[in-house]
Amino acid sequence: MSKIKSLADLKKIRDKQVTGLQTREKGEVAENLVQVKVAMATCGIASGAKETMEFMTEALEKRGVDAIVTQVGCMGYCYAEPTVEVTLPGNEPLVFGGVNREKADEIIEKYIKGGELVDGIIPVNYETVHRK
Amino acid sequence: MKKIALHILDIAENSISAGADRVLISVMDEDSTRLQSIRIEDNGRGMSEEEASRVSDPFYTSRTTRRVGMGIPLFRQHAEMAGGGLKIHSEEGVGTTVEARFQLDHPDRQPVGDLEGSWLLLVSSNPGIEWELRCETGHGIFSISTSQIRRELDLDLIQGRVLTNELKRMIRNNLDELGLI
Repeated sequence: MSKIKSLADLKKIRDKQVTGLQTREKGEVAENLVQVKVAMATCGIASGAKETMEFMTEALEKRGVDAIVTQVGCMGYCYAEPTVEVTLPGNEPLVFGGVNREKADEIIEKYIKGGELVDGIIPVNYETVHRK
Repeated sequence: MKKIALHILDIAENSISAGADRVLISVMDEDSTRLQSIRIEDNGRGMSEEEASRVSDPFYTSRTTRRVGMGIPLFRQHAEMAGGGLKIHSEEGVGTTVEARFQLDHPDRQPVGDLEGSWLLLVSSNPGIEWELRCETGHGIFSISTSQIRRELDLDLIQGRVLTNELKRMIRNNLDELGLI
């Protein structure tokens, strides 16, 4: 197949097959979905948050978990980057630290799919040195 | 930060925080001057002169979670290491432009890296913003924008959704052709 070079080429492919692009039904609320927030400030990016986010987005989609993966700013846990906040429907958000690909995989398999807690959770009562 | 694409991801985050709804990212290799210019241009709320003069100070930040802000200082450091520099133009209520220049042939110039990945990540995380990517080298020009994608592919860019690998590959093919490294 020739190289895809333009949006027109993409359109041709899309017309032929259903791509990974999906649209949500209107009115579908975020509260019913797994929400994943990847901290992507300077500290996060420098520690590999981009790779973590790309892995999570792709892995969740491939494994059939309906989730919203977004980037957020600094959560204040720079020492533990990359950090990821996961909110399962009806649960309190949990923040995991040191999330590389392996950890992300573990979080998806154990916590997101099975509801089982895994190592690396940053306690909510953790306070930064500098309090506003 | 080992790649320019990561700096772009980082600096563009500032545009999002500044409430911008249009962000233009451009990478330009100029053959005549042998300079590479990276620009992140937004229409966010902008900064006062005083604030703009302080953002290169690592101990200045608008954030409240901690006291340091390394994004701009690191970008500036890497530009200066590669014989270039960084300029910020900002006007309150109008927007901010950050431009870093690198000497193309400098041995310490960082590679551009996964530019398409960074851009698509910004797009999919912030579909409410009009994102444009423009690349220009001696080999030609390539540009793509979210409104163009919406119009030509007739699709909604939904927050957090993977954009097709095809879209990523399409941008990569074009960047390769421009010889952007």
